[in-house]
Amino acid sequence: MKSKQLLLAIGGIEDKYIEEADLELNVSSFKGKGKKLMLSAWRYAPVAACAAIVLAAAISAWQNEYGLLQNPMRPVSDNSASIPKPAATPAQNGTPAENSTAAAVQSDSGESQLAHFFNIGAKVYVQ
Amino acid sequence: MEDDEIVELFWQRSESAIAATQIKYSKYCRSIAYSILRNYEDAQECVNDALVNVWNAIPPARPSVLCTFLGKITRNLSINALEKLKAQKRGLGQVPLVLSELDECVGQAECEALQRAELEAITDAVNAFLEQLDAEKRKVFVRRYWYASSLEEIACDYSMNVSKVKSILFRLRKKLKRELEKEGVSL
Repeated sequence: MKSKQLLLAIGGIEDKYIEEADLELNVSSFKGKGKKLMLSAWRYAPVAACAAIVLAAAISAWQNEYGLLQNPMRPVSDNSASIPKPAATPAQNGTPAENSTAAAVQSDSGESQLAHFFNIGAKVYVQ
Repeated sequence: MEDDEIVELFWQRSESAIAATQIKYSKYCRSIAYSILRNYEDAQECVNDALVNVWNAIPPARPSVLCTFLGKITRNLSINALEKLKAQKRGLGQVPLVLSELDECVGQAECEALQRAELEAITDAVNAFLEQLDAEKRKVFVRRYWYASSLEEIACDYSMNVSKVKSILFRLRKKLKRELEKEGVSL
């Protein structure tokens, strides 16, 4: 009963205080809702980032498997044999290690690019 | 339409005043009633009752701020409706009726005048208390105890977390109690 009296008494407070905390006119209420939406959107950011990484990896693996897009770092195919090779420049007549590197890159052994570079690295280290 | 024009229409006893009020303030009133009742149908009923009450109150009243005038009427009607609904749910449907019948024997006019004087004293004390507060705390207090907004709604609207709203309200209640005691208001 006492709390009801207080509730009714609060009902008679000055208009300026009621207007100040207005439900609809208060601009901060809209700001707050915007902020809440932003917060809830950011909650899914890590999930979205992980999904993007997985998707990128999957696409990359699919491309490597079926070779749909030509990767400039992939070994040159046998068709390149029909193209006349330019005369060797002095820069290309380098050390044996460099020559083996070029051969490895141009070979179409079907090994992955990573394996090629690993082999090249190992040869250079041995020499 | 401006508030002054709507009030003028009420004074001319034009029914378009009700339509204009409904267009401009029905959403506001419904949100107040819904905060208290948490039921759309009951809230809508209270808004309709509030419009009838405003029609009866103007004239002679000439409110300076129509929005809060309507809001106060809606709030009081919603609180009364809530009490009735609670009584019905508890199966005490007859008790409020019996009490209201007995009120006739207790010198109602004197009782009401006394209650009104007491309420006015408490309202003055609450106004003085609100005057001292900074704007943010005052808004939180009014949103909770005038608009009956939930803690989550207040937290969302003022970019706070719920625990902060709770702690602000807890401190404000303590302070209000001290102020009321200082003013000699007995509750």
